[in-house]
Amino acid sequence: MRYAMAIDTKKCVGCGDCVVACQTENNVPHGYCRDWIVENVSGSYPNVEIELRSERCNHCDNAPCVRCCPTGASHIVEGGIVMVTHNECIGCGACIESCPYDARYSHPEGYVDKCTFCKHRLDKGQNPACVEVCPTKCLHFGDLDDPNSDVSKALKNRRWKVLAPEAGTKPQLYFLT
Amino acid sequence: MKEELFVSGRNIPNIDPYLHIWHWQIPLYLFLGGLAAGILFFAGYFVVMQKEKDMQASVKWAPLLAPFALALGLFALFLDLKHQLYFWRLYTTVRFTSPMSWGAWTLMFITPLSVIWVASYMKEMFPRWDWKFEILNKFEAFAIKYRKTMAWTIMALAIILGVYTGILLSAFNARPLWNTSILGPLFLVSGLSTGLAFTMMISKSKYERKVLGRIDLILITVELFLITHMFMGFLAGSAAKIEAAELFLGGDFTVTFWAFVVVLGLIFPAIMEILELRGYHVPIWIPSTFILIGGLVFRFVMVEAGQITRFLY
Amino acid sequence: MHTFSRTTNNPNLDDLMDENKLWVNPRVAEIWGIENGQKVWLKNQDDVVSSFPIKVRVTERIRWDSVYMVHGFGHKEKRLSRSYGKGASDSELVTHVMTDPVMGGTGMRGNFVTFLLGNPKKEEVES
Repeated sequence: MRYAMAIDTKKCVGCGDCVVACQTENNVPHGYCRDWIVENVSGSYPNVEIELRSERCNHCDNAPCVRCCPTGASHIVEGGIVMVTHNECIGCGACIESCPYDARYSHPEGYVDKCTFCKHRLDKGQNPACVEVCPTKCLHFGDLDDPNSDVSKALKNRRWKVLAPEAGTKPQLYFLT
Repeated sequence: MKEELFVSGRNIPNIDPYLHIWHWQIPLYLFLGGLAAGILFFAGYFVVMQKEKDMQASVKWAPLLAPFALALGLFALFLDLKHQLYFWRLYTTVRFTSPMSWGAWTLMFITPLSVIWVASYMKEMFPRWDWKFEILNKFEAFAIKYRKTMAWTIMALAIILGVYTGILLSAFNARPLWNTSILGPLFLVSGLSTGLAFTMMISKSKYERKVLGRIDLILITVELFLITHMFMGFLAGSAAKIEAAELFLGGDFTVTFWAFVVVLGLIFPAIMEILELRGYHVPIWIPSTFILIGGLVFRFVMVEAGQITRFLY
Repeated sequence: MHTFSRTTNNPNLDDLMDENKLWVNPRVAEIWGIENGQKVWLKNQDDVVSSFPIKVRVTERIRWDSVYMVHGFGHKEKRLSRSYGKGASDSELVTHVMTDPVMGGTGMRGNFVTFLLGNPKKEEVES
């Protein structure tokens, strides 16, 4: 079991639905977000190429945040999801410093918070909230070990990249280009 | 033209536009940790070398500061925590991959040990000191008996503490400026040097100052060498590392680093110490103060600049 | 992200986008000496000046002879606590509306704007 997400950068229109869906689903405090959209523009007019990426925690295989956590609050659960136990977190900030994707933030209540791939929804057999609401269906989620999952099928037929592979974190967010 | 920007209005406090999750507490803590490590290391060293008689300040007087420095450093670290009521979670588990866990446990051992060390010299320093309780007197006798073992332990722990102050930063591969293994030795040497500087400042014996001055000169040379090495490593590294080094080679931190840390914090005191060794009279507080300030600024600069460096965006 | 001018005061959507930006081609920006993020006022062919300044986004996504901004910002109503005075309104600059004689459709793209780099109100007071 290895949960992963594939993001179609060609289909994404940058509407921000995933961001709002996540904020309402997970009660993210106002002014914070667990996912965000990056627009990358290259070339010069009229030959411009635009890449829109809906980004979130990469749930890395070699997660530096888990390695750096002094209390074990950051841990990996089944499916490779990186989770934070709130009442074990001391808020030292080591994991925030260690994340090359800046995917973590310090919750106003003190603990560190981040994307959970909507673990509570997965347990019920549902997709993460961001995937569910995407109007262009550009987010593909599923189990990499299952060849028939949405994400496996998306990765089979397309070229993809991951972010900052040089950081050595083995990220599990694949961006279809 | 290439541009990359957040279009979903991401503006998280302390993370955007650039990371600033660690404020003044962490560099202060690193400085005090290094200072205490330096003081305790040389206290242990001169006991092991059986130079207690000649090195009164190093062995007895300077370690008086160590427990206070450690306590203050730990307090600064505590202030930095955002979920403070759960700080005890640090001591419910040992995590070998986490430098912060190493640090917490090392401090757990070296802080009481430094208190015992100071306590065992209390009667020598203040002849009229009285422990009041018989059990404390017995404990003191026990501590004095095993002083040499204590000296060895304290030296080992001091080195772990000194290296840890650097490793704490270098373990983060997400921050290219910090992610260099040379930071451990560099912070250790810098910590030892600040410890020596403090001891020199309070030492009354001319002989002791001379010995400490010589050791300090060696440490400063090693430190300069390590700094050069660090930049050579950066410039020969990946794009992110080169970008990190450029913060110091023409970027925002150039003046702070080269003027305050390298010139005023290392080269100037080194020249002063050479003059002193050559027989010129230099007030000892001048090089010492500059080394201490240089060490403090160095840690502030490293923590601030390191948080700006990144891989993405 | 927003729906016309109606959602700019919604807390969640305000979080996503709290002001609109004026897209300017890098070449045009170079000629005008405008930097990314600089605030400018806009004046159209009928000398109508925007009520609020707008930040420039220098980008290759726009052609040389046009500028772009998202519709729905630059509200003048102070009770819209989040969106009041954020960004500029494109509709107040549309003073020239063409009507298709056959269908009755309207064309609003016949308006031309220029940049004002200084605050127009301030200049008036000074002169």
